[in-house]
Amino acid sequence: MKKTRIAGIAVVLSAFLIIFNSCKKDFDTINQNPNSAGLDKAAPDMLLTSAIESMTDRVQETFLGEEMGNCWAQHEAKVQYTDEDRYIYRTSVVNNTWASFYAANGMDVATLYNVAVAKQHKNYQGVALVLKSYISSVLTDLFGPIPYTQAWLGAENTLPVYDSQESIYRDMIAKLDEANTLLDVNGKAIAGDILYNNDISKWKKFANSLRMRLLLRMSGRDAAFVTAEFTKMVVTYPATYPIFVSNADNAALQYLGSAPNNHPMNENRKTRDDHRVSNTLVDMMWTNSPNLDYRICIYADQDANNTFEGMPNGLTSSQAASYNGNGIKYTSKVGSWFTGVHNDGLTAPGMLMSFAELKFILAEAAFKGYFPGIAENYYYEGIYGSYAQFGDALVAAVDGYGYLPMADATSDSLAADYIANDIYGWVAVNGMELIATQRWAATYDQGLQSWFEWRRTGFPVLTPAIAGMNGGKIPVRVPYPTDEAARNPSSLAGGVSLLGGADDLNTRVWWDMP
Amino acid sequence: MKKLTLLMVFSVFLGIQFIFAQKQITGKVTSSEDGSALPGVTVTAKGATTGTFTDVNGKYTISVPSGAITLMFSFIGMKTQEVEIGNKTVIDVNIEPSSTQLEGMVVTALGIPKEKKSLGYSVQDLKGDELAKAKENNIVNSLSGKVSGVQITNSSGAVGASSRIVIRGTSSLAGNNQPLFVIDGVAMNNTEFGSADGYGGANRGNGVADINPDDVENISVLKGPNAAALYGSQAANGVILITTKAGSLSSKIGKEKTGLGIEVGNSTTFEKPLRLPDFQNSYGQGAEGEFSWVDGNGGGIKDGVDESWGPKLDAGLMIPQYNSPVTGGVREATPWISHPDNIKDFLETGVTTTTNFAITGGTKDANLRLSYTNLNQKGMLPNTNYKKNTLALGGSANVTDKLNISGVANYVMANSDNMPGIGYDGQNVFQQFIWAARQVNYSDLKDYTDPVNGWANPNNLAVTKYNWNYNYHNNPYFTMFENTNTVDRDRIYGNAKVSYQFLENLSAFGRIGTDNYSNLNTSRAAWGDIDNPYGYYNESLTTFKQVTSDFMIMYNRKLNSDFAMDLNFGGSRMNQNIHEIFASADELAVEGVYTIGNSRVSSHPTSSIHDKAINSLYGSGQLSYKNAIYLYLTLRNDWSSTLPAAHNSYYYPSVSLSSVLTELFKFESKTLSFAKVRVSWAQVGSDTDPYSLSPVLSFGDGWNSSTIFMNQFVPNELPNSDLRPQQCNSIELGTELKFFMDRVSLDFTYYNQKTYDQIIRIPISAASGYTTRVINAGEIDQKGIEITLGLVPLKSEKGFNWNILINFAKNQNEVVELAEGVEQYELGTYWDLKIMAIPGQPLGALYGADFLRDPNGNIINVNGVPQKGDLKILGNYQPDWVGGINNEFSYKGVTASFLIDIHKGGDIYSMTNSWGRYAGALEETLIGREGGVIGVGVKDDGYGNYVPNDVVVTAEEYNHAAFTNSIPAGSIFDATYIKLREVRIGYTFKKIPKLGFKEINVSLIGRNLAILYSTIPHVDPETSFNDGNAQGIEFGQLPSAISYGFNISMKF
Repeated sequence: MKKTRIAGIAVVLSAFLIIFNSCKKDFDTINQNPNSAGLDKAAPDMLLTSAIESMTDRVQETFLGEEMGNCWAQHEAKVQYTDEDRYIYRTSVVNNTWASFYAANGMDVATLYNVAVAKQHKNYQGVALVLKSYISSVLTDLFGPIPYTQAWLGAENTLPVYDSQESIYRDMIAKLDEANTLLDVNGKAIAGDILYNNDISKWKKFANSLRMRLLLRMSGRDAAFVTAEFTKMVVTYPATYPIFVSNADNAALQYLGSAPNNHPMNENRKTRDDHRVSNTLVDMMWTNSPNLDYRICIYADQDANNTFEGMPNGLTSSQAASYNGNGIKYTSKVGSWFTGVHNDGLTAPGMLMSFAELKFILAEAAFKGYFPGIAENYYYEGIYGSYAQFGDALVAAVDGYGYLPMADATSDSLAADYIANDIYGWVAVNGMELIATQRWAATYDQGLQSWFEWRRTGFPVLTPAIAGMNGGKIPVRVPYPTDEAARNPSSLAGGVSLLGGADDLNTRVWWDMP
Repeated sequence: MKKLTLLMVFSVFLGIQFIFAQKQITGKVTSSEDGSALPGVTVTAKGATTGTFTDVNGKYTISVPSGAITLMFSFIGMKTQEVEIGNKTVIDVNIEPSSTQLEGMVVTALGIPKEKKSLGYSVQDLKGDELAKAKENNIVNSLSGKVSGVQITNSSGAVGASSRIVIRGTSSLAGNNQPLFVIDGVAMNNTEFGSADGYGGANRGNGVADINPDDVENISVLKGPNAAALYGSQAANGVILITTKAGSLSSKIGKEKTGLGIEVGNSTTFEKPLRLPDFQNSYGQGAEGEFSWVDGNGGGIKDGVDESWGPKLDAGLMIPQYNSPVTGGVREATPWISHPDNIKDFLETGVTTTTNFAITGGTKDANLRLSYTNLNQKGMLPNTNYKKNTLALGGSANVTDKLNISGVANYVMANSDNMPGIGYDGQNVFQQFIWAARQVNYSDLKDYTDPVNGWANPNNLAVTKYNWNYNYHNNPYFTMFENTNTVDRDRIYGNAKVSYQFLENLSAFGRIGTDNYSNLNTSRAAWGDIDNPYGYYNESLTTFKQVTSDFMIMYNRKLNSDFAMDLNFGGSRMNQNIHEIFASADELAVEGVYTIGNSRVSSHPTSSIHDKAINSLYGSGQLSYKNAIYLYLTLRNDWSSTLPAAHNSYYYPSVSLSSVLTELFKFESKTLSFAKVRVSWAQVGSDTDPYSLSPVLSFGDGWNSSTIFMNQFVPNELPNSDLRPQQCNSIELGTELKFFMDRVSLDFTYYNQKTYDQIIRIPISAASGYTTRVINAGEIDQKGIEITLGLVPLKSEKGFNWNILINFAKNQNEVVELAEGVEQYELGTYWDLKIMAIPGQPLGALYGADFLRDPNGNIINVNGVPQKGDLKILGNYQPDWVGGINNEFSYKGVTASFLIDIHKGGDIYSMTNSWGRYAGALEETLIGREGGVIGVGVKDDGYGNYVPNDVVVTAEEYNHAAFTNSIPAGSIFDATYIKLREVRIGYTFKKIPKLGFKEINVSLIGRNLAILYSTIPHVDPETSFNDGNAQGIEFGQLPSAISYGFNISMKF
């Protein structure tokens, strides 16, 4: 009897003790996240890898880069699910684009910059500023005014206001100058750089080349400033402002052969077959070209009739399916060099900015007198650069189709043969159209930039989508994401008022002079 | 020393005790059911301060005041019996089980049994027999229509699928609106195994589906915070208390006859689809009336199209098809004919067998129960199955007359070789059936490996298997047989408990309980899958461990002739540990080998650990006056590891008051036999998930599978180091009335509940660098009524009885506010339809584009087709009310019953209707096939005036424009339904000593037999993918099942 009573008390007491022995003092340990690294363990090299991959993936993303970029720029057209090609964009894609550039790669870059400042690592700082400017420029070129000065502040500001595109451009130009100063080949090394393999000199060239792209884009608004800057960079201090000198300097992420590190187009083609080369491009390079533009052999695959046949932009799905007898069969797919796996096991590079584009930027700047230079030379260098970008692969592709004009051809000899064509030979009076058209042809697979440049220059002259849903017009802007309307409405209203027009596909952004 | 300890314990509770016993009465209490002695029966003299319990032999001795007139005998589950004392000194009674649910004792929070009449809040009970007679594999479904205010949504007729349960609607924005399940006093995890939603995945069931219905003795539903306040954190959503047969053994010691009791049962049911879409069978595959097959991928005439806008069927046409013979490289034309049953024929009859065996044995002081149940389910979809084996062992022993030790251990093995894919995904065969080429004879595709017709995808090495289409779909048999989703789970749950009876009215227990499982999910796709040419394989292993230790001290005493009190004090510590490992081979290097190592791309396993602990102290006290007025107070304090130190301690009080008016005023009438009113107020709070406080960096996929290029990235969620517990206040009023000698009973409840300071992941502008932030914000109010009406229209002396039980619940839900500056909170997005929380609306607004309309609301057609208009609220998934009517007839050994389940109001977005019309697959798309369609509505006459539309377009054009995913308005329907949920007819043979049976029951059972009313075409309006807040969506529904069969149970 005594024993059991003791047992009873013991049970209750021990239960009590077990429970409160381990009271709340262990709560801190229990609630420490074992699955992720704390901010104190931020690794700049790992953040850099993530930022470059995520940013390039987004620029090249199927719905954004390929379907709103390549299709709206009319490098490509769609043969199935043709909505985007008819300017019916998906709101989810716009939301995802915004979320990715801001919260994914943008935030990685912002964190990288903060870590770099804390560690006084100037090269990481410089790299972060280049990436930040790239991301910001794509965002503002898509939407117009966007959050910039108050962006990426986390808990400090979850309702960031929108800045005018002009102020963003002026700041990006300044930041790229600062990046050029910060980047120092003799400084501390960086790691994790899948874009340039930790070569700071190339980052410097990228910073300055990108700066030229942005200067030219805002040139319609402030020619005097742009003139001063170009003159400073090209004429006065070229050694201080190194720029791309060959395709080896291209800002291009060399995609690997398999998911998740392959080119988004390669991944898409594993299961979908919805894209074709636009007839705008095929007409220019093949159908209407008195002298073959050999790049068609790498840009496009031949169709079931063993020829290059473009798909008109903006047909309905059933029109596209019936086009040319059978649109699926009798139109050209995007070249397998872009969609497939190369012999070296890699897929196509994700191009952010090419040497050829830089040459056309210089051509236009010279043509417009932003610095004293010979536009014609830059123009031809651009075409040669574009041919050289594909080099031996281009020669092999042309040979494969049996169009090689000479034995022992090189990409240079093919370019020369092409330039001999009267249509695209330099004629100063048509300078602007020639430069813009050749830049457009050279920036295939860089849909967003091609579309931005078309918006600015109006060249080449494009015919709006046949069954387009935008009042017969090609979009010149992307409407703000619906997420912002729900999450940051008053700032968005400020953005729309800075935009100075309706929040739709047709309001031109600040740099886009009518 | 002992005395000192006791004194310390008692000093808290002790009052002064008056004893004025003058007469001694002895006797024995037995059960009217089988004559067995009943121990633990409360014996009190009416109006007296003292009471006693019967001993293990059912015997009692009580001293009563000289003036005492009546002796009362009460016991859980039994009718309270009153006996006049008169001159008697020996009183033996025979007490009956309680017949209606409004009587007797119920299990309340923390397992404390209380007289139902004393409660100041709503609790509803369901007996285990009810569940065993018409078995549901998922115990949650058994509650459907039977308990007021409980809303059950069956996911589908797929094997092992989960069911969603909410009590009194959805109060939490964050998504956890499921009640807490407590099994034999220990919390059980009800998380779903694996994730599935409208975009795909496999529904692998919810946690409490592991409970074996054959082992359940009783289910007690504590409907709101008022009843469940003692459970603290998760009480806001109500609590479902389940007592198993093994877990209730200690209350039965000595009651059951000593010796052996054996139960054996078998239930076999067959499953057929309850509803399949009404397809058209007049036009086959193609577009614009054309079709001719070359490669099924656009190479022929419209042969990449998977829609049914092709040539007319059964009109004597000869057309080359996927299965036409190829002669000399040319595919011959074959008859173009319909196959109306092509989908029905694809499905098989499901078979579910449950076999259970239980053995109970006992002596005067100890008893044991062992049960084994085997569930074997073959699904309606080919190659799907689900198997579950449950072993339960429980025992209880009075080690001494004061010390009791008891324990229950349940072991569950559940596994499936294949659970079907759901949602809008290539792995869901119903996705392709909705797109459907109507002329295809699916049965013809069984041999998908056919080397002659097999087709190689030129882009890939992997070969897409023989099919009718190579642009969008897999061969459906290939999907079912090769792309399988498995589950394999071992689970142990149970508890061990030691109780000690210090004094007649003072006892205590200590208990340790656990819920422990390891669950392995795998998913695979074979080479040649249309979306994954190289297939894939992944494994997800979850180890879940929850240990709860608790203790409680219970004291009760009579203060004087009018007042009695009842005190409880206890505490608990809960530790939860979840460890998840996920690894995948996203493309397979070698065909047909399913292991993570067989990956042709880099593979990155991930792992995560989630630890959480909650400490709690709680107490409750009840003061009763003349067994007629009851005041009940509870207080609980929790400390949660998931909240910041400054806010991690929080308490919840509750108070309730009830009065049995008939007792209080000694009112006796045949018309009104019982009247009770009750009111209560409660406050509860809750914590959050672990690791929500400080920012971190996550690990990404990496570049080139090289550790040098590991990725580190900033996650999208911004944590908050300043979180406070979520709060919920609730008021509940109710009354219970019985009329006409209990022939009519009514239980009415009104509640008003406010949930605020919710811990939610609110979306924020991505420009901040994050897309969501954890904050305290938002308020949701819920008010509603619940009515349970019991009727006994017939009760004849010859033994014919007719009982009706009607349940009705109306819940009004309103999102009062979200976070500052946030106007809408997204619960889910399905294409262009969003499920939203919008202030002023009930939670779950269906939000998306309407058709373009003129000022009078007419649809504006442009070129003959409707256009996308403004975004607006198109509906809401919250029902107006839910209810059930159960009729039960009994005559001698025969019982028959049927249950009707009603769900009124609420809306649903139906993808089957949307794409089925877009694709020309459904019956209504025949309208205008010949001659065209003039869309309802108006058109612009060119001068800005709207005139009736008169533009003729083809049916194909019209359906494509009106039922595209960008205009959800066309596919929103009223979700109202009335279902015949359950019918059963049974006969019970009692006591056939020759055969050694105590009882044999044979029943015919049917579940989910018919949709008696519904306005939505083609689909079952009861549909869900998971237990989250994104409901109101039908997205390629797998058909729900009619289930019918028989059930035999034998007791020896």
